[in-house]
Amino acid sequence: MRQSPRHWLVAFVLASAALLAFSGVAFAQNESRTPVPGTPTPASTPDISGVWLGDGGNNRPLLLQPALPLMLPWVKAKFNSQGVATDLDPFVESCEPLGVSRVLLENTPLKIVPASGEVVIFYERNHDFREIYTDGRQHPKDLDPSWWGHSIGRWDGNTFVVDTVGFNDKTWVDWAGLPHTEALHLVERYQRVDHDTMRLDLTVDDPKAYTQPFTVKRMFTLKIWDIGEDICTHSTEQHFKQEIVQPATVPPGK
Amino acid sequence: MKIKLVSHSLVIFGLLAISAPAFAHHGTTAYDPQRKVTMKGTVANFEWTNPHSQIHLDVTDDQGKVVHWNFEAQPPNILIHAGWTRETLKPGDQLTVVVNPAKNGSPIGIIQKIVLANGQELTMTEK
Repeated sequence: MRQSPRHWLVAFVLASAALLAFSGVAFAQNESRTPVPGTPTPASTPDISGVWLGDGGNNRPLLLQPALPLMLPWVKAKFNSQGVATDLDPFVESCEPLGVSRVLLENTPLKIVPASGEVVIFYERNHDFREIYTDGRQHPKDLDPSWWGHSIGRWDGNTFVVDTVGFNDKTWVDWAGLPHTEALHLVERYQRVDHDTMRLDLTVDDPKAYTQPFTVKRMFTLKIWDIGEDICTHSTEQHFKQEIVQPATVPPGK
Repeated sequence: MKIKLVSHSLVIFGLLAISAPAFAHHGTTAYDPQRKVTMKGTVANFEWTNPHSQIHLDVTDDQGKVVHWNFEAQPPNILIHAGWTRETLKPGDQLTVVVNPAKNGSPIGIIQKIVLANGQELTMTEK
């Protein structure tokens, strides 16, 4: 059967469109694979993007030591003579959000993603995230207290400085069970030491709980990992308690 | 009186400081970090799950009685970086474990290391 010139033209246009469509997919795939996470970019500010894992292994009660001599009486009263927090852990008991300082002392990675006007940090634990605004805005007045507070960031030389206020008082400051009030003010200073290493200096300031601010350092290592899914759910926590925690903690002979 | 108060505070702070490193997510204070016990048995179940994976192991004791032990391990997102997968253990596998047992004598413990039947060793930390 003989095709008319018009049919050939339609076929040519369709073929060209298909080629363009396929090449578009291929281009998008290649583009999504580069740059390698953590590779320094030629931007004017240092690059702290990528997946980072804090040092020291298990969840860190790093803030307890510097906080000890600074506790107001009501904070001291939260610990028994064995040094264990007497309040139930809001995360373990109810899967409530960890909050900013506690998640930074986690033994699971975080992923820093610069975006337009902000830096987003994703946390493997609970698949949580924070937005840190870098567009020059200030903290709003009369913030409603929230789990993650309100964060603004700026570059101070080669250090990314994050200032966060506006917290509720439901989280612990770290894994030892340090409490805080809605007056909590956190400052995080992130500095890329070398390609594979980042330093965090975390300052906790809560004049209604501690007599003066205190600071801890934690080092992070760059990982070529994906962020996993480590989600706290009531059912899995209950199962773990029944299977492990309760039999391991019942007094001997009972 | 003032000296007494100061010394009392120091004792409390000392206790706090000593106990701090032992405190973790679900209270690893339940385990005895000074005791490392090696046991061999048959895997009854392997739970690849949050908040902690669990290995159920049937171990025959000195009297020939089978005791069902349950061991806490890290969650999947950490174990995968230590070389584990959800296929690492299956019911019926022969397994050797090195654990810190519970202080209260219950057949519970926390894994430090496992040795598979083929001799492969896996720990809880990144390779």
